[in-house]
Amino acid sequence: MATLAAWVPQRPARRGGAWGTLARLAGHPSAVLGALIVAAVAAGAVFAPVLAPYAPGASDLENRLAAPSWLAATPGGHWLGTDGLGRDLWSRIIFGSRVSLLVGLAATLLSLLPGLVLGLAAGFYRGRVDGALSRFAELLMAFPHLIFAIGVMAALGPGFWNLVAALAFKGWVEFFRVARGEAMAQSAREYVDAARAVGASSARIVGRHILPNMLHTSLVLGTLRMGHFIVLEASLSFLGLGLPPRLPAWGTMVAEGREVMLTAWWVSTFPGLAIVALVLAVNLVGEGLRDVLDPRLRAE
Amino acid sequence: MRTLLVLRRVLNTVPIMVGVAVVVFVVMRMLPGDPVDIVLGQTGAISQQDLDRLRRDFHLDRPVTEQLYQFLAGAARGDLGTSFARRRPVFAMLVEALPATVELAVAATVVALAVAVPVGVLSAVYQRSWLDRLAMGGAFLGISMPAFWLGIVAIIVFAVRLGWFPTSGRIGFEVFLRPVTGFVVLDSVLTRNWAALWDGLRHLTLPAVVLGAGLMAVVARVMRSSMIEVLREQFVTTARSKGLTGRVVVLRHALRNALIPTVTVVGLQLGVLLGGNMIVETVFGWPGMGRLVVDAIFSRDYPVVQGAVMLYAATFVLANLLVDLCYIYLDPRMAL
Repeated sequence: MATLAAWVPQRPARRGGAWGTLARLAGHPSAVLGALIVAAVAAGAVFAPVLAPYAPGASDLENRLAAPSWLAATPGGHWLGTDGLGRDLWSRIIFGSRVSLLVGLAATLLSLLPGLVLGLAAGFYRGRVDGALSRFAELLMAFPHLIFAIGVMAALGPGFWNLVAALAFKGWVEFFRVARGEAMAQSAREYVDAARAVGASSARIVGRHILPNMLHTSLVLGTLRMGHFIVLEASLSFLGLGLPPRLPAWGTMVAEGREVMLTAWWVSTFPGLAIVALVLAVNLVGEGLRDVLDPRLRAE
Repeated sequence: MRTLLVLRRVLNTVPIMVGVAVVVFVVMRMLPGDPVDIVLGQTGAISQQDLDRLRRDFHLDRPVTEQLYQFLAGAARGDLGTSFARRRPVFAMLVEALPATVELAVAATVVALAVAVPVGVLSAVYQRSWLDRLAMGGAFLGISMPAFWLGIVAIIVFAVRLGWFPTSGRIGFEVFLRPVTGFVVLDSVLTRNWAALWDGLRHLTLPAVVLGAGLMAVVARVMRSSMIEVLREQFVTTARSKGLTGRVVVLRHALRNALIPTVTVVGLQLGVLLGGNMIVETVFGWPGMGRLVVDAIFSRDYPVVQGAVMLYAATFVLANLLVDLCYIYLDPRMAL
């Protein structure tokens, strides 16, 4: 019986499924810390109007460049101080989390999905389409990501979807390369031959067998890339190439603070700390996921 | 066999560079509006004749395919067009700004490797010690920290508060330095101008450390993990059993092998270094290519943006080529 069972095509091991993964992640202290910070930032983004003591654009012109309230007694109790227009930094940081999270998430999804689908198709079917896609990917790899995004943003102008497009237009390449490699490796495995022998169609083989085996790799890569996208968005905003300047984005706030850094250090420092905290948290979750799901990626 | 491999790898860069130029051309043609309007936007009222003349000057009256051909042919000759804003050849502007950028990038790489390689090795040898934990915590922080913020904090702390370094620029106005190569450090050594050397190094320190921080973090992590892997291999055990001391085993036997993945990572990270250079040059008022591009974006000087993006991509492609060639040299198996 045992020998017969070995020949029966099986679904690949599920590694404990989604709940198993979550349970193992819960035993990973740094990943838990990261997840808590991400959850806090997400809550801040959702409930910003409730949590922020001031409207993000409201300027208190009598209290311009007011120091944090724990350093000097300022009327209005701006606990992180105010910027050059007298706007409350804490409120703007809370609202700014929306930009970072949404752009990061949208850019990650719009990189992951096309990258995964095209990579799967290219790696499984090979042939001319694979050749063309791979050449195109290689071409995009020749551009440093920030420089490419700067070029695209200079062409498209500021805006949310322009920003996402500028990031994802090159961002899919990494997912494509990983998915393609995985698909090629998986389709050479015996279980694929076995599935084909019992009459499974190509679509079924890809959807039921290959895809589940490589989802975790994409998930890990996606989380790690999200931190990268958030930094890129902040860098573009810092250069004035992100969203329209009236919207509070952390990168824009750091840039605004740069002009007054000699006298009011807090204006740049706190939004920057927010970026560091969020990126650090996302990376902690990403590395935790990698340790749990795919220890092989550690070599990277 | 090795020569053939090198040759093939070198030839492989040609189609990529042509493709890069095409992509840059296409992206720049996606720009909203007529470049001529942008130029004229600065000069005010102008006649229809002048408008037509400008269109002809910029070859905008030709079909797009011909424009593309002209652009590619020009780029191959090193002619990247004329700056709208300054009416100067873009190539000359870029070449002028290049030494400052290269000087900063080299200094950043040197700082990064000088810190990261020893730290990575020590972290691997003393795995799970407090030193390892501290170093890897720092490296993780370094990966998550955007360069523009680190730069501003460094200026606030080390230039404004402590006054150890100047806040911006490449060399003080009061310092005279006769230009030879365009590299401040090199020129001051060549002309034995020690005051300029001191001033140049003080200006270079903060931007180099800030630009190098990301690379430092990545290299330290990769160095550590590849060193751990190499130390587990049999030839290391053999070396130890021959009675060699720990130091000799680590430095002579393990280090060279552990450096191979590090070289690849340095190559891949060069893109990050090039992108970071725009940010760091802007923050520190460093008169290099990065700042030139950022200024050009804001004055809508597209030929400069176009030319600079191409030069960045070319540098990146060449750097990757160099990395692959280093790889062939470092790993004798590649030559088989």
